[in-house]
Formats: sequence, C-alpha cells, structure tokens
Amino acid sequence: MSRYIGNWIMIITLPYMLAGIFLGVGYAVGGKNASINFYKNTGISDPALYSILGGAIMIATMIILENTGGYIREEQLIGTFELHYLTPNSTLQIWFFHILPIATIMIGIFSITITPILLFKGNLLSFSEWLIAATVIFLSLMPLAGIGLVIAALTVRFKEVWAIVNVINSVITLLSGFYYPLEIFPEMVQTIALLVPSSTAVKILRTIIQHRYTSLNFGPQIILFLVLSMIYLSSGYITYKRWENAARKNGELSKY
Amino acid sequence: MQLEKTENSQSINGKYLKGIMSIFLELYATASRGYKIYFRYTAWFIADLITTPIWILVFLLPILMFLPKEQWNNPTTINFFFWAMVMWDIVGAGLWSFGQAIRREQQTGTLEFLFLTNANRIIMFTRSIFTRGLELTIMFAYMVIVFKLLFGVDIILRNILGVIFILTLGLLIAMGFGEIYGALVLRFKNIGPVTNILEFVILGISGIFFPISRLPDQIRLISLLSPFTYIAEMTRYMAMGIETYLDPGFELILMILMAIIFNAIGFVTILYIEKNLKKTGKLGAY
Repeated sequence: MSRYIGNWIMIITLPYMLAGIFLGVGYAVGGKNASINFYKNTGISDPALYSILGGAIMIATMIILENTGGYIREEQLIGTFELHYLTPNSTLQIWFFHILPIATIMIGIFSITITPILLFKGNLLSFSEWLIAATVIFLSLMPLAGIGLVIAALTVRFKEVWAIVNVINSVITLLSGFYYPLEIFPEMVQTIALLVPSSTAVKILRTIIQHRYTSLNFGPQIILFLVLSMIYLSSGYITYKRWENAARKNGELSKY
Repeated sequence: MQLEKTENSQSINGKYLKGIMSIFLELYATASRGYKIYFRYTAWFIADLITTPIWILVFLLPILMFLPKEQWNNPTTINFFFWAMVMWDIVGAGLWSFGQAIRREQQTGTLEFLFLTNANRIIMFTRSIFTRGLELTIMFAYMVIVFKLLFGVDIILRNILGVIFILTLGLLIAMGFGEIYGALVLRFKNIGPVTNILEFVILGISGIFFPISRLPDQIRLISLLSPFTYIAEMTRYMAMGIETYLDPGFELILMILMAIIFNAIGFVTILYIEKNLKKTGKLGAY
C-alpha cells in the first residue's frame, strides 16, 4: 500500500474536491439565499464542514467495499490468484485480514482529511473526542467488511467486480446521507437506511464533530453496529465459502 | 516521359489509397474489438442501467439542498443538471479512454506486443471512444426517462441535429485531449489518482453545471482555456437556447480547430514518447 502514495493523496483530497463541486454549484444556482436554503433543508449552518465530513466517511466506506473484490480481481488479472490456493493458508483469512489494516488506515486517513477544515475553523477535536470518533469509524467499517466479503465471493463467481461494486456502492451511498439528511426521504426509506452502517456512523460523527456532543449515549447505535457486523460478516463468510467451493469443483477458479 | 509521369502519379495515388484503406481497416478492427470486449462484459451495462438513477440522485441532492424545496423540480435547473451529467461523460471519455486503454495493456503485459506492430498508435487505443459513443447514446435516452420519472421534468431539446453534431465534435476533442493524457500514462505509468483530481478540476472550471458567466472574473479566464467549456456552452446553446459567453459561431470554429489541433498534438506526443521509451528500454516497465 505504501507503494501507491498518489492514491492516498487522492483519497485525502477527494472529499475537498467533491465538497468544492457541490458548494460551488450550490452557491452558483442558489444565489444569495443559498446558505439560508441549505440551513432550512439540512438544519446545518456550515455546509463546508458538513460536506467534507460526509465526503471523508463516504471515501472510507467505498474503499472498504471495493478493496477485497478489487484485490482479488487484480490478482486474477496478473495471474497470481490461483497461487494463493497452493498455500496451506485459508484464503478467506487472507482476504479478511487484507481489509483489517485498511480499516485501521482509514481512521488515520479520516483524521488527516478533516484536520485542515477543523484547523481552519479553529475547532480541533480533543483526544477523547477523536478516540470516540475513531471507535465509531472502526465499528461502522466492520459490517462493511462483511459486505466486502460478499463482493469478494461475487468476484470469484462472476469475475465482474467493478459492476457489482458499482451497484452496491451506489445503493449504500444513496442511503448513507453523506451529503444530505436522510429525512428528505420517505419513512420507509429511512428505516431501510438503518441497515446501512455508514448512515448511523455519519449521524454520530456529525454529532461529535459539529456539536461536540460526546456525552450522548451512543449505546443503541453501538449495539446496532455489532448486530450488523454479525449479520454481514457471517453472510460474507457463508457466501464466500459456498462460491469458492463451487468454483473449485467447476474448475472456474482460474477462469477469468 | 509522359507515360512515366502517369505511372508515378498512379503509384502515388495507389499508395495514398492504400494508406486510407489501411486506416479504415484499423478503425474497423479497433471498433469491432472494442464492441466485442464491451458486449462480453454485460454486467457493466446492466449495472449502469441500475445505478444511473441512483448516482443522479446522489450527485443532485447535495446541490438541491442550496435551493428552496419548491424549486427542486424547476425545469431550467433540472435541464442544466441533465446536460451537466452528459458533459461529465464527455469529460470522463477524454480523461479515461486512452489512458485507461494504455494502462490496461501495461497491466496485462500486452502493451509491448502492440508496439511491435505497425498499427496506427492513435487508432490502436481508440476502442473505448467507440463504446463510449454507443454508451452515451443509450444512456442519453435512458436519462431522459429517468429525469422525467425522478423530477417530472421534460428534457428540452430544441435542435437535435445540432446537439448530435456538438456532442460528436465534443467526443473528438475529448479524444485529442485523451491522446495527450494517454501519452503521459505511457511515460509515467500509474497516473490514475491524477486523473481523478484533474476530472474534478475540469468539472469545476469548465462551466459544466452552470454558465461560466456566473464565475468570478479570474476563474472565468482559466475556464476559457478549457476545451470542455466550449463543449458545455455549445451543447446548452443547441439544446436549451442558453446564450453562450462568446459568439456561438466563434465558439463552434474554436471547437473544430481544437478537435484538429488536439488530435495532431496527441498523435505526435505518443510517437515521441514511444520513441524515447524504446531508446531507454522503459516501454515494458510498469
């Protein structure tokens, strides 16, 4: 990973670029009432911080979702995928433990990404606030790692990882409310959005960073993360194992 | 003497014709290869159909937050967004087509083999332009329906032939831009992250989402240097009748000139970099 420094620079700057586009276009079309309209629609008076924060979580979410499938696809393309099956290691463990360091790095990336805007606002996080934020990020990424394993299974089965990732990413991004409040959707959609861990993570992180409200009881949300982690990780495990076995039996492991 | 002259002239004409025929043959081979690859991966196409309405919402909702709720279905605003999404595709075609094709050949280890042939270096990597053209046509029709269903707004299309002409010209400009960019991929290998950054910069300065007249003076000067500014301006002019910043006739001439100049520069740059990489032995390094 340290080989691709350019990628990391892009990951850190992307939330700023996306926020720049949304704010630039938003102010251009909204005119002089743009800020007032934004406040009325979102209840937030600081669109820049709101968008950059949403963008940082969105990038972390996308990377976790894409990474396992993308890694497998890359191994397939360069012809080294089957070689993993010649070793005595569990391939499931290889793919899963590939996600874990990335999830940890994402906490660092998130911190680096939001520091400039918080510094600009003169509003840096205290250590305890950062620690809570980091824990929330890590816990919210675990269910996504489970979805990542499902994508890995689909990659082994259908080969077309980016098409699958595109569909899952789009749905998760829409239902996470990275750049808008989910309250604009009907209640049914809001309920479905609870199944997307990043939607809860966005709400908690916004509460911590924008309102400095760490004394809030995040218990129910933490339980939700744990339940979702169990569901998605076990789904990922079952799906991957099943399709890996099928691919081994049909001789499709090395077919791409 | 006269006979010799006629024979020479016939030989030159023959070579010329042969040259044109070989270009058409290469174009046919590249296009058919591009379409074969495209239709091999049907999952991509299906995924695009599923995700297009979702991504439209994901990108438009944050912008709509800056407008009062009663304007969320404003026909002019929605039409601006529609054409912006089409433009985004054109910008993407410019940045990703050549660079990505070269990078993919590098990764799969087939680039050196392609460079062993005498095929035209530009045509060889144009395959995604053909598929982009097809994709753009299908997505255009699909997005008209999606915008109608999502926002209840009809897409304004005042001069359909004008729009087709401008979009085709736009794709040619994007192709020239992509060739220059592809040459950089050939030289510097993995420049994917730079592509992403550049894509957002281009979207920001080229008046893709709104007329450049709304930009501050200094930024407007930069936006006038972007080829994509004129594609966006002329598309909105043809489709919606929105006034262009410069005279529309002048912008059209600029676009035609850019299509020729960019493609010529791109071709020369790729040849120059290929020659240099062959000398230094870095053609196969990635």
